[in-house]
Amino acid sequence: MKIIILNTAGIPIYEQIKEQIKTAIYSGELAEGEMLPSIRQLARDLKISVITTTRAYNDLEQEGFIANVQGKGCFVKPKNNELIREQALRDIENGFASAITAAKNAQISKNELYNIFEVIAKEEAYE
Amino acid sequence: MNRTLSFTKLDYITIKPYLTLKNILIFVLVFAFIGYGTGDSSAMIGMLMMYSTIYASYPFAVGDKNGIDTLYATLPIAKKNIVAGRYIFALCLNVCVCAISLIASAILMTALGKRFSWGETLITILICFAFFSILEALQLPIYFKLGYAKAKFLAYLPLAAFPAAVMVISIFVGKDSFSAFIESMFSWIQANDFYAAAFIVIIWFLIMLFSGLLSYRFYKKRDF
Amino acid sequence: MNNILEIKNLSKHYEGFSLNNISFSVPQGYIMGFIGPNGAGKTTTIKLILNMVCPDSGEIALFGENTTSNSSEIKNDIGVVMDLPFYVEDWKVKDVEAAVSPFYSHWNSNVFDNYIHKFNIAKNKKVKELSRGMKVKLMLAAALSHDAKLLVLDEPTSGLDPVARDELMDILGEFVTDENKGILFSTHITSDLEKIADYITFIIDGRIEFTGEKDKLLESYLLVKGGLSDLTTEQKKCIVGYREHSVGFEGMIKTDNIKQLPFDTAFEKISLDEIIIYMNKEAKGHE
Repeated sequence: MKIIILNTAGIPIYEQIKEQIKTAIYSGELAEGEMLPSIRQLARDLKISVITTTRAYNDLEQEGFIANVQGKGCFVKPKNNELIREQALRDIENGFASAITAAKNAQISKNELYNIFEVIAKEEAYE
Repeated sequence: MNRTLSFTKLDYITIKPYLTLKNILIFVLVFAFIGYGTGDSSAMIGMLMMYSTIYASYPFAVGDKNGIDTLYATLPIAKKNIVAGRYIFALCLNVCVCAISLIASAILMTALGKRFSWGETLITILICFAFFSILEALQLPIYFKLGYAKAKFLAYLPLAAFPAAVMVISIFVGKDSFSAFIESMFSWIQANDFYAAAFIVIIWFLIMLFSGLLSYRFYKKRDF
Repeated sequence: MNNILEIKNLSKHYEGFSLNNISFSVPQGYIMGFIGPNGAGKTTTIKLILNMVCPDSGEIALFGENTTSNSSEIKNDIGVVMDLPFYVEDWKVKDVEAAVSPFYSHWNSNVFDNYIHKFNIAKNKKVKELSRGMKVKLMLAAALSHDAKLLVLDEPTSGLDPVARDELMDILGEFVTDENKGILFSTHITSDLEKIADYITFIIDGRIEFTGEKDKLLESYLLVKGGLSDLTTEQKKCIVGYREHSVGFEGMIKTDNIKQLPFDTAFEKISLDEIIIYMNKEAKGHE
């Protein structure tokens, strides 16, 4: 598993960790039942604070991606498609809400916004 | 007791770098010179004991210069053990120097071809020991209260004051009557040796104890 | 969660400086960064923790035990590193070990040797002949060789080059992989703490300005910049450490207060260094 933290990204470190672990789970790189590095070991490896890794893992646990077994460690939970879908919908809704707020502030029309969506979808090969 | 003795050992390790062969050689030469010069071992013994007193303050001097009080604060040792350990260090130093004095006297007197009595020399040494350790009992609380840098001058006062006091008293009282007094004191001691010894030992213990308690009180209150 | 160190309402008065009612805790398993400008009271606080100085009021508890009962046994569980070595300058490595090891119940000679070896400390050199970084590593080696649960470091990285600083931070990271241990790290070089510290206690002029999670502190302030005529006098009051120059102003603001400023004011995430700088400016500005 690889986790790369970029300091200049502007995204909080715990968010970056969460996203990268989620991506690894979605893509199958992290298999069901696989054990993640311990909270403390991950903090040590990435040279960040324990609270940061704890926050990332806690969030992932709450969102249903991993399970913390007392005394053993954190394991990847079986892909719960329902949960994945719910989480994805939440991410999409938040993304749209941010885009609409920005568009409103800059007085960009709804049509312009749709066009932007099409352009990006094409770039990302999203059919 | 364990921690106290560990601290005494720590004091020794503290001054060890300054007990070089060169220093020791210099001492040997100086004292041999004094011995030969005076033709008697008493002055040599006195000087040796005085140096012992000076060396007893070395842990303070070296410690102060190196910020060693911070080290003491990081170690699991109570302040009372620090004070006790330092006193034991000073006394051990004195005892070692007593033994050295005894042997040095024997060598000197034999070399000079003079009469040497173990008993008399031992008594001289013990009296010097009592005297200088009581001097230390006066100095140590001053060091514990003020630290070496500030206490230096003040602490040497008793050491310098004594010969000055002796001179003043002997001039005042008259040289002859002063020597007569000293002699009569010696003969009283020899006549009542058991009681004299017991008396001196008890007074000595009390002075040491009182000095130690005072040192502890000063050291405990100190801010570093 | 247990606290390895708890300080409550600690006060100490000197002529010209006072530590006023200091309270904070170091939880087990975490790194507490203790930051503030020079002269803020960091070293005084640490001296109080180590019983080098008597408090005028307040309590200190280590591992749940109140230290005002003066138990020195507790020092068995504490490892200390300072910016200046507290060893006799003519000692060599073996003298250091001979001097300190008899006092500790759990001194491990092998662990000490391993650290000396790992840090590349020359065994035949006297303390005074070691480089600054080596002196700090020597204290660290000793601090790590008696099974200490709490590491107290007072400005250990000042005067160290980036390589030595990185090595030191690495070892501290290793230390807290054990969740029963904790670190109190006092420094004015906050970049060391920027990523690795879990909690921050920020002290200025002898009082605690903030104590809590580092992320929360960083999230609660923002850097703000704008043009000279952008703000009303009311708005300028929201700005901490307000500074004007020929082409604009800059300062720090509590994140909650952003809404009081004009829409197009520029904001930026803030670093620990900048928080100290602007707080200090604000404090000095009121003198």
